[in-house]
Parts: sequence; C-alpha cells; structure tokens
Amino acid sequence: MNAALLAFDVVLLAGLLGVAWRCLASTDLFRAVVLFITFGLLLAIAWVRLEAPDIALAEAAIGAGITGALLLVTLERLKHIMNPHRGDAGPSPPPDPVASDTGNADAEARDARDPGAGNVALSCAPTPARGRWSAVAVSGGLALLLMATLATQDHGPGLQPAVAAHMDVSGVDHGITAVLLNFRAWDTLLELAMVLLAGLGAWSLGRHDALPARPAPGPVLPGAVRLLLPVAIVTGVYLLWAGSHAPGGAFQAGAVLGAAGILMSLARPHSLPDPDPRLLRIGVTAGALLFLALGLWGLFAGPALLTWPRNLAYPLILIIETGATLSIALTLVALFVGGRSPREDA
Amino acid sequence: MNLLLVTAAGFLLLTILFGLIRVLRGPGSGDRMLTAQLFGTSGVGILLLLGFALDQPALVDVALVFALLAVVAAVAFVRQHGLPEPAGTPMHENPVEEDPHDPGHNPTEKTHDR
Repeated sequence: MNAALLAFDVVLLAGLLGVAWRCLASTDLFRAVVLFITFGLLLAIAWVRLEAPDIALAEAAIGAGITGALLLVTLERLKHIMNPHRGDAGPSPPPDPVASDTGNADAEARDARDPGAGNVALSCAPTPARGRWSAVAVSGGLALLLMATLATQDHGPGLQPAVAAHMDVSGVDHGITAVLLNFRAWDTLLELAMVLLAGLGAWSLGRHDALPARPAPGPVLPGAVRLLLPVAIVTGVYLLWAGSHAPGGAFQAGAVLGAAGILMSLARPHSLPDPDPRLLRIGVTAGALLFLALGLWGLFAGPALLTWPRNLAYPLILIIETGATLSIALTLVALFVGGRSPREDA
Repeated sequence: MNLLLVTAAGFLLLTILFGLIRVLRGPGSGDRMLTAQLFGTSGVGILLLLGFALDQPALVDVALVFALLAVVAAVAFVRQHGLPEPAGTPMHENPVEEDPHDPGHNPTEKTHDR
C-alpha cells in the first residue's frame, strides 16, 4: 500500500515536472494551453496527495473550468489583434496595404501557407537558448537548498492543536473554514479585496469586445448547457453549504458558479443581455463590503474588529460566505469577458 | 483492496502520461483538445479511486467538480476552432446592437473589421 502510494507520488511528480517543462518550452501556443490544462489536473491530484482537499477543489474549479476557457479565448483574441484580417478573406488573404509591418506580414504569410499555423507562437521566434547550463546550475542549487531546509526542519504539528482547541467557539465544524472566516478573517477580507481589485483593474482597461465565437450548429451545445447549468448551480450552492463542515467554501463555490457563468457566455456569446451596470457593481463589491460591515459591527458587538459573537458566529459566517460567493463568481465572469460593459459607456 | 485501488489509480496516471504523446505530437488542435478531455475523465477516475483508497470522502466532491467543469474548455474550443468563421465575423462588434435571436449567424456589418 505505502510502496504503491510512493510509486504513485513519484510518477505524479515526474509528470508534473515534465508537463510544466513542455508547457513552458512549447512554441505552439495552443499546445502550451492544452499542456497547462493537463498541468492543472495533475496539480489538483498533487494537492489531494498533500492532504489539502480544499485547495484541490479550488484548483479543480479554476483549472478545469476557468483557466482553460480563458486561455483559449485569449489566444483567439490575440490572433485577431496580431492579424486582424485573417478570417475575412479565407485561406489566401489578398495583400493588404495596412499590414505593412513585418509582424503582420509574417503572420499572414504563415496563415496563407497553412490555415492551422496561427497557433504557432504569434510572431515571436523562440529565443536561442543562452545560459542554459547556468540556469540548470542555479535551479539545482536552489533545489538542494530547499531539500536541506526541509530535512533540517522539525515536522511539528504547527498551529493544528491551537485550532482544534478553539473549534467550539468558531461556529463551524471544518478547521479550514474556522481559520479563514473566524480566526484569520483579516486575511480572507484582504483576499476578497484583491479579487475586487482584479475586477476593477480589468474594467479600468476599457470596454469589452464580443467574445470571438464561431457558429456551433446542432442541438449538442444548447442541450448540454441546458443540462449542465442547473447542475453547476446546485453544485456551487452545495460547496458553499458544505464549507461549514467539510472541504468547500466561498472560493470554491464562487469558482464553480463563475465557471457556470462562463459556460453561459460561451454558449450564447452574442445574445446574452448585458447586466444592469449598477446591479453588477453592487454584486461585485457585495462580498468585501458585507464582510467589512459585519467586521465593523463585531468591533461594537463582539470582542474586536472582524470577530463574531460566539452564538451568532455560524449565521454570520454563512452570510459572509454567501456574499463572497456571489462576488467571486461575478468577478470571475467579468474577468473572463474582460472589460466594462458597453452599456456603461453608452 | 486498497492496494488494488491505488494500483488502479497509478495505472490511470500512467495512461495520462502516455496520452501526453498525443498532446505533444498533435497533429491537429482537435487531437490535443480531445486528449485533454480524456485526461479529465482519467482524472475523475483517479480522484474517485484515491478517495476510496485513502478514505477521504471529500475527493468525491473534487471529482464532481472536475466532471462538471471539464466541458467548459471543450465548449470554448468548439467556439474558437469549430466551423470556419462566416464572412463578417462578429469579433469587433458591439454585442448590444446584435440580433438577439440568431447567435453566430447574424449578418453583421463589416465596417469595424475593415
């Protein structure tokens, strides 16, 4: 059993390193994206082997649901930006006076040769390998240093006994949720603020274009979306509720709901109505603001800032997590769509 | 019994590593994407086997999330690499102005693309 698990871990580690290396070294961007999706899968299994199912859940939702779609759509948008005349004129584009700079000309020539060649790294040739051996030496030295540190460190229980001793005042039954939303609520508030900041950063860059999307005739896509969306929403709510006693919580639930929103925007890229900008802003900021407001209320009603009265801890944590789930899901979809809604500028 | 489960999980992991050959060689984008989808299925199998072998019921939730969301990348892929783009691809169009009843096929004006 232990030998089998050890063999599993060694194979997993080798696979992770190999996939990471090929992903970074790949000149074909599409291949790099697929390798990155594979890397996320292996990473989730690695988190499971490190006995961190909460992080495995988050990695599964972000890696499988969001990053892959985000990178694929970004790649397509990048191709349009680098070579805006592809697709208008089919496989043999006529010479265009606008495309005078070498990058565009190169890309068009490549596209004319092979319609699938747009996936090759967009117009930057791979740089010649320089200082390869010094890089290997530095990485080897760092690995040795890390191994020495791990070997000399004493593997104590850390803060686990302290958390276990105070579980009865936390209001929840899952240690990680107790730490994230009660004992170290400050960290989680700042994480929510960071998610909000990322969304605001994307919005400040400008208005979003329509998602690049080709027609997908047939009943498969609408049928699959009609079946998957309700299941995804139920799963997200389940993960939110499970957070109080098992792995799960606001980030995981928000990622699953965000992936559901991304699925919807991919399925109906041109007919999806833009949400009311005011409601969208309220939704995106709700998590952090609710958290902060209740934390301030804890300053007067409870022992200190961002602490909850003992008998109210569970409902308060549930309220905060619900708001955080909503905000995280909306922010992830907004980041995927990438920019302000056109209605705001109208 | 647990040994059998872990061995099966290890075997599935090996099949993923063999499948990487298809990702690295291609030749087409579709081959690579389908391999990634197959990895998702293998990953669900690995997670379920490990969940029972290590007695961690939470892994079933991880497998559920994987099974549910692996399709998102596939949908994104179909949307980007499916049929050839129609003339006047709605890449730079304002989505508000578009016909809400006909996704993808709407004959949008080409002024922004030129």
